Order: sequence, then C-alpha cells, then structure tokens
Amino acid sequence: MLDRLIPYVPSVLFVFAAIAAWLDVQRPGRGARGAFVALTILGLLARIATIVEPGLCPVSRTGSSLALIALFLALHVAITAHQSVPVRALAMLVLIALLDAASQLVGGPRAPFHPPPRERALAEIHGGVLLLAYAAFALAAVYSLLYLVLYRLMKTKRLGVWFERMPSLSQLEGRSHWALDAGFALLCAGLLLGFYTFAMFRGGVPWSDPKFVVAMLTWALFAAEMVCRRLLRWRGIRVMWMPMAGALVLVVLYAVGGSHPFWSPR
Amino acid sequence: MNGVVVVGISHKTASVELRERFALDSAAREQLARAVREALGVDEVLVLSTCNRTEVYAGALPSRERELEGGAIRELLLRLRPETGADGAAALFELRGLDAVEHAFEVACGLDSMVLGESQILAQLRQAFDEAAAREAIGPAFQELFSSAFRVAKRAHTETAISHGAASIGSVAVELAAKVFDDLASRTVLLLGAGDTGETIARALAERHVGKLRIAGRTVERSSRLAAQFQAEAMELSAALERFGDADIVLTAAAPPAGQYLLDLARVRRGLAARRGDELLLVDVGVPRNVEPAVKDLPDVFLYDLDDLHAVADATLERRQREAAKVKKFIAAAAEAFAAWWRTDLGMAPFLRLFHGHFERVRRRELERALSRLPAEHRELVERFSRSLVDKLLQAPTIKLRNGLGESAAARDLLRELFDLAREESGEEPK
Repeated sequence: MLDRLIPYVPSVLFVFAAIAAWLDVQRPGRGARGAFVALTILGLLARIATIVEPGLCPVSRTGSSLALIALFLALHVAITAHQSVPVRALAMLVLIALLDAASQLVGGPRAPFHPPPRERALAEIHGGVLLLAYAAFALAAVYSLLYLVLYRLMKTKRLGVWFERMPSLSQLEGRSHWALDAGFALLCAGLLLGFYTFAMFRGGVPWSDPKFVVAMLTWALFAAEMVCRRLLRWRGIRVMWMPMAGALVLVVLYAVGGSHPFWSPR
Repeated sequence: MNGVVVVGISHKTASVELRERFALDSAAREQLARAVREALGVDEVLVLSTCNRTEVYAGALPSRERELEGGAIRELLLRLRPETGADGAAALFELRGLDAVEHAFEVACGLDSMVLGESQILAQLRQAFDEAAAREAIGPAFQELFSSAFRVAKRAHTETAISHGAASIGSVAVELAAKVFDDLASRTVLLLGAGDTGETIARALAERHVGKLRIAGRTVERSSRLAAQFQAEAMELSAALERFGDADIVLTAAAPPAGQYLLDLARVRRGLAARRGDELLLVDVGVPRNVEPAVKDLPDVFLYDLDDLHAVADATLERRQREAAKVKKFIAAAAEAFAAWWRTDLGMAPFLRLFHGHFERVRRRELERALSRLPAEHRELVERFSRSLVDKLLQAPTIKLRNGLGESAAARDLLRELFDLAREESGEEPK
C-alpha cells in the first residue's frame, strides 16, 4: 500500500506548494512565498528521486515524460519565484501538480529499449529536447490563460484582489511569446533529430504512426502562430488563444501516446 | 505617560486654505522645533508638515516627572502664522499621553489620511524623523515611539489590504494603465478636452512618467496652456481625433454637442485597425459621455467611464474600511507595548542605573582591596567572579522592579533607604 502511495508524494508537495502560493495571493508577506518555494524545491527533489531509474531513460515512458515536463516547470517556478507575481506562480503550480499526478496515473509500459548505443543516445536527446519544448509550450499556455483571465476581468470591470495580484497584459503577452519562441525552436530541433534518427536506423518516414501525425499537427499550429505574430504582426487577444489551442493538441499527443510509447522500438 | 504631546491641524480639523497657511518649509520647521525645545524645555521634538497636516510632537523623559502641555506649542504655531487668526486657533488640536502615541501610529498607518490607507504619509513621517534626528531632537523616547510607528505601519501594509487597490479616480486610471501596459515610459497618452477631472488624471499619469503626453482642446491656445504645465504636446482637437489610434491611453473630457460622441464606434474601429491587436485604454470622464458605449464590446479596447472609475474607487475604500479595523487592533497592541516600555524600560532606567551603580561601586572598591593582596595570575578570575556574583544577586530584584514593583514609589523609597541610595544621588561615595 505504502509503495503505491510513495510516488504521489511529490504531487502532494506540489499541491501544498500551490496552497501556499494561493495564501501568498490572498495575504502576501507572511512567509507564504518562502513556503511555496521550499515546497516546490522539495517536490522537485522528490520527483527526481523517483523518476531516475537505473538504466532507463526518463523519456521512455509516457508517465515519466509527463513528470519530466512538470519538473522543468517546477524548476522554472523555483528559479523565478523571487520576481514572480503570486498569481503566475499559483497558476504554474496548479498545472505542475496536475501534470505530476497525471504522470503517476498514466504510468505507461516500461519499454524494453535496448538499441545500439548511438541510436539510444540520439533517441534520448530527441526525447529530452522535445520534452523541453513541451514544457515551454505549457509555460506559454499558462501565461496565455492568465492573459485571458486578466483581459476578462478588465472587460467586465471586476478589479478586485485577483486583478491587483496579476502582472500586466503586456508582460504576460511578452512572456508567453518568449516561451513560444523558445518552444518552437526546440520543437524544430527535436523533430529534425527524430527524422534523422529514424531515417538512419529504421529507414524512411513513419507516416502511418499516429504520434508522428499529431506531432506534425502541433508543429503546423505553432508555425501558424509564429507567422501571425512575426510576419502579420498580430498582437493581443487575437493571438493569445493560440498557445491554449497548442496545449490542447499536446494533450491529444499524449493521449495517443498509448499506442506509441515514448521511443519504443518498432 | 504624560511626557508626549502633539499639537497640530489636519484635514479633519481645517479647510485646505487654512492648511496651506500652516504649511511649513524646511527653515520654518527648524525654527519652530528650536522654539518648542526652548519654550517647553524638552529635548525631543518632531515637526511633520504635509499638504494634509502640520503637527508638532514634543516628548519629555519620564525621569523629569512632569506633564507636558501643548499650550506653548499652540502659541508658537499661531505666532508663526498670525494671519490664520481665530480660525487657526480653533482648528488646532492637542493630544497627550497615550492618545498622542496612538495618533502617531494612526498617522503612520494612513488611518488618519484623507485617502484612507495611503502609504505616502509613511515616507513623509520618516523624512520628518530623519530631519529631527539631524537636529539631534530625537532621544530614547521618540526613537522608540517612531520606530514602533514605522513597525506597526509596515505590519499594516504587509499583513492587511489597507493600502491595496486604487482609491481615487486618478489612481484607478493609473492602475488600469499599468495593468494594460507594462512600461508606461514607452506609451503615448492623449487627453481630449481639458476639464478638471481630465486634468487630475493627466497629472496622475504624468507623475508616472508616461512616454508622450498630448493634449488637444477646441483651440491650440487653450490646450497649450495645459500642455505647458505637463511638458506635453498641444494639438488641435480635429487633428488629434484623426490620429487618436497612435495613442495607447486616451482620456476624454470634452463637451461634444448633445447626442454626438467625440469617439464613435466607426472612428474607434478605424483607429484600432492600425493597432493590429495592441490594446487601447479609453478613459471617458466627460459628461455627457464622449465615447459611444458600444465601443466597450470591441476587442482590445478597455473603456472606463466616470461611473466605472468611481465604482472602483468606492469599492477600494469600502475594502480599506474593513481592513482599518484590523489595523486598529495592531495599533492598540503597539500602543500598549509602548506604554509598558515607557513605564518600565524608560521610566525605570534612571532608578535602575542608580541601583546597579551602587552595587558596581561597592564591587569595584572591594575588588581593588582584594586584588592588591592577590598574586597576578588570580586577578582575572576574581574579577570575573565578583562581576558574576553581583549580576546574579541583582537579577531577581531587577526583574521584579521592571515588572511593576518599580512603579511603586514606596518600594523605590525603601530601596533608597536600605542601600543609602539618596547619598549616592547627591553625588557622595557609598559607605
């Protein structure tokens, strides 16, 4: 029984961190910030302890790859906590707690992955780069969500406590765009590396693989977002829904992951 | 605790005209502080002068065992500003003892401010304190009093929402602008028309150092006058309306013909097209309204009219009123702690100095006698032993004196009698 509960300890720590962040939103300056940073770091260390399995790459299972995304985000929260607006940290920690809990619920089959060393190394880099890209997209989605919430609060003229604790719209937009740019660059690099590895060791392109199709859809959506923002110079609400849509596609990508475990041999 | 007194005027007792006459510049504050010290024979004086209050705090140590009265301060203030006459005399208030202490704490927390909970007064009080310290007019009493005031104010601002939110129309507009645009220094503000409210908001935004401020009235001459005040660019209304999409924040305070809008839906749509999704903040403080209400439904536009701004400010003040009850509890606790400190640490300090001094002198005298007969290697040990012995013997009586026994004159007299302290008070050596 205890063995089955232990993997959820980091999720519980992230939930407590989110509660501390919520207290920081309600009543700043009572040590709540210190508490959520400490709990986030504890959760992070606890998850690292459970995610690292000897001889197994953390990106080889759906669950552990989700946990890795949560880890990247938790690291971001811990590093930027001193300059973070409480609502932003709260939104991030809620997402981290959900991703981390989902990582344990999903689990995924342990892939017997024993390819030649060179293929394995490339596969691990490919998986790691893509997970970093997904973490950046998740970050962009959180900023976009906060943007939409603040936009709505301002439109409906509800300027209460939550409004006060929010960063400005332009700050949220700027950070979302920064995360999208970083995520898109990583996505391109990760996909190219995937193509190269597949072509070199298996031959051809995996057109029939649903995971490949959804990954390409993700790329197309984020590429469209880049075109709107960079070439057409769209700003504000008309582009801020896109990271949310992208996050939804990523969820689908993980949902279809069941038929294609992360980097399992064909 | 009658060694603290405050005399002054504030927005609660005097009109703005009267407050203006009592306002003191740095030289006048210094002159008044010196005069108060001489007239009352006190060492501790602090003069606070802001646009909403002019207050003089005076303090005398409890060892002087005298009750301070503010009559002399009143006279000095009225002599300094004779033109205020009977109105000035009637507007002056005086608080003594614990009331004066609580007042200082309320001022620091912003509970006595015109805009409840504002924090600017705290900086002004700190400045007055630094000024008094530079004049060497801060002693142990005011050091503790104002340190406690700053502590309780910090607690109020961090642990309650007393200073949260925007509580005036100007600050609501500034807060809205800051919530839309991160960096106001790179933004352009356009003021259309120049009513009093529009001017108030433009001033509040100018104080936040907006990038460009453009002011447009019916004529360039009229807008030029206002533009000169804010180092802004003056424009003609028609030209400004054509280019209004260039601005990020538009304040409208004009008087358009009845049934017409200065900015109608079509014009705002055209202005927005060029902005490609960049947000636009429209603050309409004109009566009748200058912006067509349907504009609020357009994407990327935030339209706030006078009623909206008032509603936000009123809601903030309502919330601050609720928080004020919590701050009052902090103040009551801090005032009680200060009173206890006054009674024990400050009130007992001279007597405890005398009491401890007696034993220290006896210790030194006996130590000198003993050391002269001891070998050198034992001297340090004996010195430490004598000090430790006296400290241990005095520990319990000192605690008892601090915890209330010292407030009893009979107890102090008994100790004076027992240890012949009166002799030492007169400067004679103990037997």
